[in-house]
Amino acid sequence: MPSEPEPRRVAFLAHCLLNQNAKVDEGAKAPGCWSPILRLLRERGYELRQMPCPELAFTGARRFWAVKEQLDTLVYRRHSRRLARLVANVMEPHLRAGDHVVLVGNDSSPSLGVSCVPSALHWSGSPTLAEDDSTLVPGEGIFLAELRAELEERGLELPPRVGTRHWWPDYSVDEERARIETILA
Amino acid sequence: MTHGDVRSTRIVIVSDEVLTTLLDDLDRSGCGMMQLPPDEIHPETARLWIEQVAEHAAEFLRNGYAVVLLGETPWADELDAALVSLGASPLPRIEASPESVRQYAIQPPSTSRLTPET
Repeated sequence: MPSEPEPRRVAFLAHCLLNQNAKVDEGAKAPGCWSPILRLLRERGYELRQMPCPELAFTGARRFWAVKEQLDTLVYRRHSRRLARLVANVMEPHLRAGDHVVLVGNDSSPSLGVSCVPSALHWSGSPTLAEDDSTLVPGEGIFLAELRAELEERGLELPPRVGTRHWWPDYSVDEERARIETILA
Repeated sequence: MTHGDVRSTRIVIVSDEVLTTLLDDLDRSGCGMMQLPPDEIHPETARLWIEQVAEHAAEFLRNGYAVVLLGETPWADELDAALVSLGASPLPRIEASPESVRQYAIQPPSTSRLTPET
């Protein structure tokens, strides 16, 4: 009797993990890609699927930092949903086949935050902020919320996920690796 | 870019196969990567994927980043068409080899040419 094929391992990645050029200014901590995460995923046999960067495509390469309240408009949601449909199209066959699918987003991103997003109700107007006085609040980014909604319409759930933090002041490769390993097969 | 940001402003668009094969070389060279749809993707989804890659590439080109297509892909013509529809030029193409990647990291080809100088 033929044996069942092994489930594939597929990791959906925030765009900037393969392309740091997509980061908001001051956010690129490597010239090209963020290799510690890529190395871990490849060691564990994951195929890589790069997701679009909703912020790059919408507010451009010269965008300012933003908090979730600034980006959370109807039109940005519509844009994010368009990209989420594409990602869901790619993800759906893997989920239905029982493949081991994971998603690696960006904690503290207003779009791809997994466990927290930046918030500042007073951010608006002249771009002369002396320092970042936003706060991180629990929640997921706008793009992830749209991806969740798109998958739910198809009767599917967001796969296990974790957010990278490699631009955080107290970043530790070992801590991040341990957090990512919790969702890997 | 401002302090603390070390982006290369050099990007390659690659097939899934080339990405897998040359990832370490691309990492060492400091090139950012944009992945093209894998072969198994439904053609309609692949077209949507190409469309968003073109949107990203057009935005990078508008801001003076270098963007090239690395290696062969059945999506090359569709990508060029998508870029042209966005008012951008077709991308220079370079061979998918570690040597080409190293050369690109040193000196990107002119965007006014379809093939790099050799």
